[in-house]
Amino acid sequence: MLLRASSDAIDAGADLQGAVGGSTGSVPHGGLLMAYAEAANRDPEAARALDDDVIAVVGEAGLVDAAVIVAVFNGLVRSADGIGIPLDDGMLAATVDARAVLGLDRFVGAANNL
Amino acid sequence: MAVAGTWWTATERVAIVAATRRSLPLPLGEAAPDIAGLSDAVGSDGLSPLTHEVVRCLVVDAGRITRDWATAAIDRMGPGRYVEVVALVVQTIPIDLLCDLLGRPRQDLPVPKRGEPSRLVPDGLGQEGAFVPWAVDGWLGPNVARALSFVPEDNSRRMAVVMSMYSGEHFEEMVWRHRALSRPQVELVAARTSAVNECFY
Repeated sequence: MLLRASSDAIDAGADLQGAVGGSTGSVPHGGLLMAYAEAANRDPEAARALDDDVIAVVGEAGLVDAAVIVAVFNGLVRSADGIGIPLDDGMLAATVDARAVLGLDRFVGAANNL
Repeated sequence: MAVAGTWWTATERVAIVAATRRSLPLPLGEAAPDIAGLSDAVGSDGLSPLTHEVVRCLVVDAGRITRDWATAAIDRMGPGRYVEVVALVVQTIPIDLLCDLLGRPRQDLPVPKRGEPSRLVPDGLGQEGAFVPWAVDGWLGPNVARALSFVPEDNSRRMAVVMSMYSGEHFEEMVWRHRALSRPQVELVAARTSAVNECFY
């Protein structure tokens, strides 16, 4: 939702498939950032092998930003799943199509919402 | 963390954080234990097998938590102790993971201070679809911000970490200029992280 809204705000279409491993649309350096996010979530030590590549395109501060976002969302997802947070009403209605396309309704946590 | 919380002593809180750091996925093929059958007798670190399993599940298997599992855990621990465990796990993981990703040493755990938990249940809580009661009176924000409102002090600390690491004061702005990555780049990394963790919310 925020990926789409923030991309629309700068007239840069984002392909939401990027969230589940597909095309990243026109997000600058989206492919590398997605690869970094994937590695950082699955094996933080191995993700460091991508540090130089990420720095080359978004700088050291960009690498820190990417690491910070992976880190903070690892807390947020556990807050959501541990507490069974229902999707906010507006978000639930606004994401029907996107959830279907991305297959998010198959996640275990969907049962707490649908 | 070094002082007593709302439902756990400081010693127990530090032990929960230590357990968070030690949590590992179960060996391939090994089924998770039935939460109803786990002992709640405390071991040498001050935590019970029940608490250890709740921590382990939150750390390595949160995307597979069901309402039945959470209800069973909450029935045995009580909502306050359960929510405070969640609070400690979700404050520990972002900071540890950031250290790991940047090749920095993790923070040392503090020496716990004496003191008793307050065991105070805040006013204005109610059931609105989550596994536990949360703030309902006059609530206007997103659900994620009130997730741990059963333990308001930890919830405030958690949200301070989130604000610091994610949006700062710019959540409502779709164009970000306050950090190196653009907002779409940030949201792509965030969305991929949520998907890898199979988080519906």
